[in-house]
Parts: sequence; C-alpha cells; structure tokens
Amino acid sequence: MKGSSMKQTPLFQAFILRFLQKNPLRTGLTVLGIALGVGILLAIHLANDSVLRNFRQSIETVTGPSNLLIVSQATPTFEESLLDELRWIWQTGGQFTPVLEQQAARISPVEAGRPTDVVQVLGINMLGDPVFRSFSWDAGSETSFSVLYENHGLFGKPLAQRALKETFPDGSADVSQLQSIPLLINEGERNIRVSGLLADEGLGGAYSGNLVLMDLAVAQQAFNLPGQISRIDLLIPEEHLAIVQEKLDRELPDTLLVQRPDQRGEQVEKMIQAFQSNLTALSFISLLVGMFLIYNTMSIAVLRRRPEIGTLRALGASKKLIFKLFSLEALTLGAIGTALGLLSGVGMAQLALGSVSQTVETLYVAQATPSISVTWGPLLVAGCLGMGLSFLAALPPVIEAMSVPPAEAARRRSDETRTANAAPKLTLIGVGLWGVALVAAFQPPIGTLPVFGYLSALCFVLGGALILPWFLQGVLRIASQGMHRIFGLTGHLAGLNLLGALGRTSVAVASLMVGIAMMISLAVMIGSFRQTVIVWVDQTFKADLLVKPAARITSKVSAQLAPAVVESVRTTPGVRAVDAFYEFPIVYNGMPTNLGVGEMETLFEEGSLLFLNGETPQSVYTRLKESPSVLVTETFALKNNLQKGDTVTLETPAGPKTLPIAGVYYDYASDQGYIILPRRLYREYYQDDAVSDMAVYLDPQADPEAVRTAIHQQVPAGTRLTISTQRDVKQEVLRIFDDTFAITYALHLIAITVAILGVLNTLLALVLESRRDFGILRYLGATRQQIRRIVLLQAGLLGILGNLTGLGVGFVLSLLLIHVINKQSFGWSIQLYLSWDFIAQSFALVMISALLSGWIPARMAAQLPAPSVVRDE
Amino acid sequence: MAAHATDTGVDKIWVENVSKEYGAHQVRALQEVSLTLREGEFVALMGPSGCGKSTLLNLLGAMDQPSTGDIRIQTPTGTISLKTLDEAGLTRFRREQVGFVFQFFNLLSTLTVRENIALPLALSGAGSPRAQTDRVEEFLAQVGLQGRQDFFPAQLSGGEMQRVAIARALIHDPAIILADEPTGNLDSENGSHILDLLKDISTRQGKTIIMATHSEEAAHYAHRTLRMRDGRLLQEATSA
Repeated sequence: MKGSSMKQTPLFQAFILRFLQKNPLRTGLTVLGIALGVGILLAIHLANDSVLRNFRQSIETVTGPSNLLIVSQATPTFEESLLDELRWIWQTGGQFTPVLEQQAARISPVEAGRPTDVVQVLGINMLGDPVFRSFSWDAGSETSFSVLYENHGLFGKPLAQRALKETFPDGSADVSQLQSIPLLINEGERNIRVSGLLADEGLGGAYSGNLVLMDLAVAQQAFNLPGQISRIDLLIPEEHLAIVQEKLDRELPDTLLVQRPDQRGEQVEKMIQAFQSNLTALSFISLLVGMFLIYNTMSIAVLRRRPEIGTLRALGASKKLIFKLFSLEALTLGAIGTALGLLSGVGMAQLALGSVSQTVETLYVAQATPSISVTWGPLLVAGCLGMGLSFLAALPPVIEAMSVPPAEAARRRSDETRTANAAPKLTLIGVGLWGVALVAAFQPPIGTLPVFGYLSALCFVLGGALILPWFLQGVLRIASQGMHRIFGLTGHLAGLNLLGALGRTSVAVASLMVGIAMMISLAVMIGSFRQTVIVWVDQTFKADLLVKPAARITSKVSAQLAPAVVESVRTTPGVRAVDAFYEFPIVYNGMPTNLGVGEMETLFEEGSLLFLNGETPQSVYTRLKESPSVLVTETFALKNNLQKGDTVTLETPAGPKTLPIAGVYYDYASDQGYIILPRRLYREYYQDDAVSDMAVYLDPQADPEAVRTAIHQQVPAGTRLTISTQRDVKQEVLRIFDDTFAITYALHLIAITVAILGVLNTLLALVLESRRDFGILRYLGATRQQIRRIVLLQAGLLGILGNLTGLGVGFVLSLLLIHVINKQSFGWSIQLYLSWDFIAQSFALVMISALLSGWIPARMAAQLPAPSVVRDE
Repeated sequence: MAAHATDTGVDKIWVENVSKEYGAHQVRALQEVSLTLREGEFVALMGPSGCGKSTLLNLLGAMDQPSTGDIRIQTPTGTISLKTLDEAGLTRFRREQVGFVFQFFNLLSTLTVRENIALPLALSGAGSPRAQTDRVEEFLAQVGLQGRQDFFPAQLSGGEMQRVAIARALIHDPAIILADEPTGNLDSENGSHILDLLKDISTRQGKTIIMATHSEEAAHYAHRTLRMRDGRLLQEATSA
C-alpha cells in the first residue's frame, strides 16, 4: 500500500495514542488487568516448569547414564539377591548396580526438634557406582572412606548449609565443623555423621541438593531394610539393549518391571499432570478476565468513536486502515500489559513455587523445593498468549469499527439502535452456544484433561454475554419504572439512559458478569470441596488416635513402624482396637496408584467408610468376608473405568492375583486413588506385615491424651512417633487442604482483583460517556445533586445487573467446575455447598466498587459547567 | 425530472435517474433524480427534513451506492462512473475527489488543527511531510486560522472549527465539495463568513460545491438552488 506507513504512524499517534492518553484511568486499568493475567499465567507456568524440571533433572542425575531400570511394580522394594541372576549381563559388556531410595526427615533445632523437611536418601554401591553416577566431593571436604561406615553419609551442600545455619545461627562455624546431622528415619532418630559434602554439580545437585548419599549396606541398615533395594540400574551397550530388555522382560518375575529411565519420569509427570493442568486452567481465568477488560475498553472506544470512524471513512480511510489502527490500539494495550505481566510474573513465580512444590510433595511425590529458573519457553508462551488473546479479545470491536459506514459521519452520536435491533439474532446465537455447552458438559475427558468441560464453560459464558442485550432490554424497562417509583425522575432517567445506550450497557454488564461469575464459581468450587472434605473426615475418621512414624511428614514418605512398636501400641492400656495401615505406590495399567493394606475387621466395625450409591458398609463387609476381594476408591474406579463387582489384577510376589471389587468408597486423600487389600491377604500374597500408620480406637472411658502419653512411654526407647488425636487429624486434613489450595486461593484473589478492575473500568467508561446527556439535563434545570444522583443510580443499577447475571452464570460455572472439570481431572465427587456469606460479601464488594467508580464521574459530571459538556469536542 | 445547469461552465457531474431504497421495507429516499452540475458551480440543495438531501449528498460523495441509476463525474483523469466502483474504488474516490464539510464539523478530537487539515493528504500519502506542512500553512492562511495550527478542536469556536473543516475539505484538491448544513451549527455572523468562503472557493478555484441547507439565506449564496420533496427534485432557481 503506497504511503501506508506514513499515513498510519502519525494517524495512529494522533487518533489512537492520544485517545489512550486522554483516558489514563481506563487505559491504566486495562493494562493492569492484562498485566495481572499474563503475570499470573507466567508465574504458574514457571512454577510448574521448575517443579517438573527439578524432578526430571533429579531423576536423570540419580539414574545417571543408565539405559535400563529394573523396578518393582508390586512392592516398594525387592530382594537384592536378584542381582545374582543378572550376571549374564556382564557377557554383553553391560553393567548393573543396585540402588535403595528412601526418604527421611530432617529435624530442625529451631523447630524444637520437630521434623521439618523431607530428605532424599540414596543408598548406592559406593565403590562400584561411579561408573553410573558422577559425584564429587566438595572442595574443602576431605575424601573419606568413613562413608562406608554405619550411620555415615555424604550430604548435599544446601542441606548441610541449612542445618549449619540452624545449629549455629550466629554464623560462628563453617560447614567443615558440622559433625553430624540428625535425621528421622522411620520411627527413630539417627545422627548421620557427615563424611563429606557433595559438590553442587552431578549427583550433589539432584533434589536441589537436599539429599544424603550412603553406601547401600549403610542405607539398608539405617532403614531396616536388610537385603532390600528399590531398583537396579543397568548400563547396556546400545547394540545389545533390545535383546537384553527382551530377555529381562521374559525371565524376570511379573512383579518386576523393566523400563527406560525416562519412563519413570513420565509416570510421575502423568501423576501431576491433572494438578498442573488445572492450575494452568485456573491461571487462565485471570487472563480471560483481563481479556474482557480489553474487549470492554475497545468496544466502548469503538462505540464512542463511531462518528469519528465514519468521518475517517468519509475522508477516504479504507476499511483496512481502520482495522490496522484499532488492531494496533489493542496490540499496544496488550504489549504494555504483557510486558508488565512478564516482569511481575517472574516475581510472582517465586511466590507460587513454594505452594506448587508443597502441593506436589504432599499429594504426589516427596521432593525438595526447587528454585525458579526463568527460561525463554514460558516467557514466550505467556508473551504470545498475552498478545494473541489481547488481539482476539479486541477483534469483535475492531471488526465493528471496520464496518462503520462513511455515512455514520453525519450522525451526531453513536447509533445505539443497532444493538437493540441485533438483540434477537444475538440471543439465538447465545442459546445455540448454551446448547453446545450442554452437549460438551456430558462428553468424556481426553486423557485426564477435561477439554470439553473447559469448552462448555467457555460456550456458556459467551452464550450468556450474547443473550444479555435481549435480557437487558426487558429488565431495564421494568427497572426504570421501578426506579421511577422509588427514586422519582432521577431514577427513571438513570434506567432510561442505560436502556438508551443498550450497546454500551450490554458490554458493561457482560464484563461485570464475567468477572463476577469467575469469582463466584471459583469460590463455590473451593468452598464446596473444602466442605465436602470436612464432612468426609467427620463421617469416616472415627479413630481416637492416629499413630505414625515421626519421619512420615507426608503420606509420600515411605516410613514404617517396627513390629515391636506396633505391638506396643496394640497392647497399650485403653486401646480397644487398631487398624494397622500400610500404603505404597504401585503401577496399575501403566498409571501410578497406591496399594493400601488395612485391617478390615477394625475398619468396618469401628470406622465408617462412605460407599458410592449409598451402599451400606455392612453389605460390603459381608462380601469382603465371603471371598478374597478388595476395596477401591472412587478416583481409582473412575480412572480405570471400574465399578463394584469388576476385578483388579495385582502383581504380587505370589503371582498375579485377580480380585473382585467389594466396594467403591469416597476418598479425598489422593487423586491417584487406592486399592485397599485386606491385611490377611497382604500377608499371604506379599509375605510381609509392614505398617506405616495405625488408626487407634480407645475404650469409651479412656482419655486420648492419657493414652497418647502411655503409648510414648510404652514404645521402645528412642522411638519417635507422631500421635494425633481425632481433632488433630481433622485439623491436619484441613491444613493440608488449605496448603494445597493456597495457590488456588491466591489465583482466586487475583481473579477478584481483575474483576474489580473490570467493574471500575466499565462504569467509569459508561458514566464518562453520558456526560453530554448530563450537560443537557443541567441546561434543562437539573441540579448538581440530581446529576450526581443519576450517575450513582446508574452505577448502582449496573452493579446490581452485573451481580445478578454474574451470580447466575457463576452458579452454572460452579456446577461445571465441580461436576465436570474437577471430576474428570481428579475423580473426586464434590457436594455443592453455597457459601452465602461469600456471596453476600462479593455482592457488597461489587456494589461498593460500582458506587465508588460512579462517584468520581458523578462529581465530575455535576461540577462541569453545562456548555462545556454539551459543546462538541 | 432532470435539472440542468444554467451557468456557462463545463459539465462536471451527471446524476442520471438515481433512486435509492433503504431497508427491508424498501423505503424510497430518492426517486429517479437526474441533474447536471458544472465546474465551479455552487449549488444549494433545499427541502424539508427527510426529503432526500443528505441521501443525495451521500451518493454524490460515494459514501453509498444508488439502488438504480448512475452518477458520473469528470475528473482530471477521465470520467468516473460511480456504479462501476467497488468498495475500494469508492474509498479511493472519496479520498481523492471529494471534500466534505459537515454540520457538526466532524473534526477528530485528538488531532490538532494542523493534523485535522492534513488528514486527507496523510490518508492518500500525497507529498512529503514538508510539502504537507507547507500546504497546511497555505490553507490555514486561506481560512484565516494562522497561529491556531497546534490547537485541538475543543479549544476552537464553532466558526473556527468549521473553517478547519473547510480547509480539510480543500487541501487535497478534490473535484467536488459536499457541504451538509455547514452553517446549521453556527451563529449568523460565522455562518455568513463560511458561506462567503465557500462561494469564493467555487468562484476562484473552480470547485463544484453542493450544499444541503434548510436556510433560504444560505441558499442565496449559491449560484443555483435545487428544491426537493419526498425524494424528488422539484424546481430550480438561479441566484445572482
């Protein structure tokens, strides 16, 4: 196009940039909304990435150059005697080495000796392993063979430095003076001597340096796992790899799995995928609300400038030029908002990381909190999304601008009848979108991703926005009459003004509706989930005390109670019954899940599981007693498409066991689900009687505190147990819930902030747009007070309309979140609970924001001298 | 009914049996209007509201297409038939051959006086920035607004704004100037200044000006007055 850049640049500067400068508050609010949206998206992306990258790097470093792993899919560990059967591998030029991976807890002197964080302990063959794993001693740390001795280990430098800081808070000692670090292993405290420190690179960098490297035999002794290993790492020459893998697959017992190292990481990634995807989806909410701000700003700018656009068209500006000008406006707003968002996102990522990492550790896999690493990928994704969505959000108003005919130049003001005329057609499209939303809501997920659930939510919101003009036409007519009765002429005029500017009113109410709907639906979803968990814990956790090894900070720490401790607890006076529980992760149908072992007699006689379809525990128990069978959680059943009466096949040391499902029960402890095997069957199939937790039921007259003290006294000396009362457990469950949802609460807060920005932005625009009308009213004799009142009534009416439509749409979105999106992502059934307190608070918040945002222009409109308001700009 | 120029100039614009219907109900805004306009002619278009004046102006300005009939315009590069132009062609025609003066001035509020006047040049990319600036200075002087080039429209009086609008309508040397109630929003003193200016432009620069107006007084400035009613041309009168 000849001379196009010449005509665009000054025109863009004069027509667009100056317009934005003339409206600094609205421009600022829009940019802030986009910045928050992009920032939060980037923060979550970076936090998710850092957690995953840390995990991947740790796996890669810990498995070293191995190209095959042998792991157990039935038990947490297996016999090292298997190594003898692998000697044939040497003939292929391959090598193999055993590894024991366990977790301990670090005790902090500043936390009164309480376990604070999880420490990874890696037991390896110190003399033979360097072929597999590269690790070096830190400079200044003397190489010592003491690492082969009992209770000795090489510590990651960050871990040692943290311990040093807490032991010598005054900084009076250096790391070389750190003799030992106390660790909780199972139910005992051990002082692990510091044989040396690992350099940051290589193995020392795994798990953010939060690890202890021990000789295999030392680790086996420390964890009371004689002869047990977690896996065998193999390094096979590439040319023999396929043959070796095939032979191993053929010859090894079914309980063992031969896999490539990257498959191990993939399983964990699959496990946290649903959590991370949901977090990402939630972070999109802020961005989407931010996009509505852009849509809103652009729509009102186009509506307001229709005569000017018409003038440009009459003077020979092509449609293409109009498109470019307004697209550039959107992109400018998007670019500034995105740039600010990227800057703030990096900062927010640091805040988000702790929470994301904590949740992953609590729910999925024990690992140290990583540090944020900013990479180009997430920056690019967030940047492109910010810019792309800004453009997309602005596209409808930009197309609208492009379609303004040149004859519009002759009009004095924007033609608002267009919206009213288009209302029936828009309503039809809106209803169509609701139909799509309804159909999408009943579609199954793609993998574990509720893609159709998100589509349904999007269609529902868009449909609602399109139906609004028709809805508002009716409601505003009634409202203006009602307001006439209540507030007299000013009320009537306030209502009629909104009705007269139906296009702008619709955009304004749609923006409010979307913001409020997001706010309400998130709150209802989180509140319902929390309330469901409270009811679930109340109904199902009937034990008086819960006993577990002190090292078991989270359920993902594989700590066990020694048989002597279990026996001591059982025989403590006042203890009526005990359900000794044990759990460990297994792989079922290629997906990670958990095998739980429980004492069914106690569980059914003392406990109170909630079964699906209202089935009574008695009938399930009868089935369990009649034949060998298992219980499964709702999440497991849903993910594997199983129900009561179907069978599950467990790979056990005694061979594959196919067992019917006696019952499916509600459980909110893990989204990977559980298969619960009766302890007598576990003993029979696994030849093991391990216990990780004990639910203790007391005699009716026994005092839980007294029994807790008695247990501590009765167990062997040096035993470190965490004994929680029923109340402690319930509080702990809610603490974990709140910790887990901390990031969601934060996202919710940000969505609220962006929504409030939308309220301010919208009302400010609408009221400013009506200034000319107010000028005319002043000519006609309206007092300043009357003008102020009209503006405030308009703002209030918009607030009410936004609130009501937002509540309606928000309620449907909550149903989608609870029954479709959450259910498909995690498999949890959540009962809908409406928090009327929150709804009332948010209603009030929006109304206050509405009136506040009306207050400033109301004052402006009332104070402006009439002629200057009425005259042409 | 066809209206013919009585002046001696060269024929410039031919409106041939033009009708315009709007909307699903086929409301006829213009009915078989035919007229010829000459170079340098200042024509007033009169009639009550809704008689079709603005519709005729819109069609002459290529802001809209007739339902039937055609409008042909003689330009330095030849005769253009508007009905043969597509959207892009109409836009180009407006950009190059038409100057508009509106009742409410239609200056862009965020552009200065200088930028508003230069807008047609900027849109067509004609001339270097320096040449554009010189031309704006020339037209500012012509409409008597020297020293006001950096003002924004809101800082001007109504008469000044309309003079800016006239300068904007002239700066790209269009074939015709269309003025829709150019004095409708001005006091009588400012109104007569504007009409003097328009008449001067038609006489001295040989521009064809078509002005829609309700005002008999304004119409007296024109060489010729065409009257309309219900979408039809009624009669014409020639002024001094």
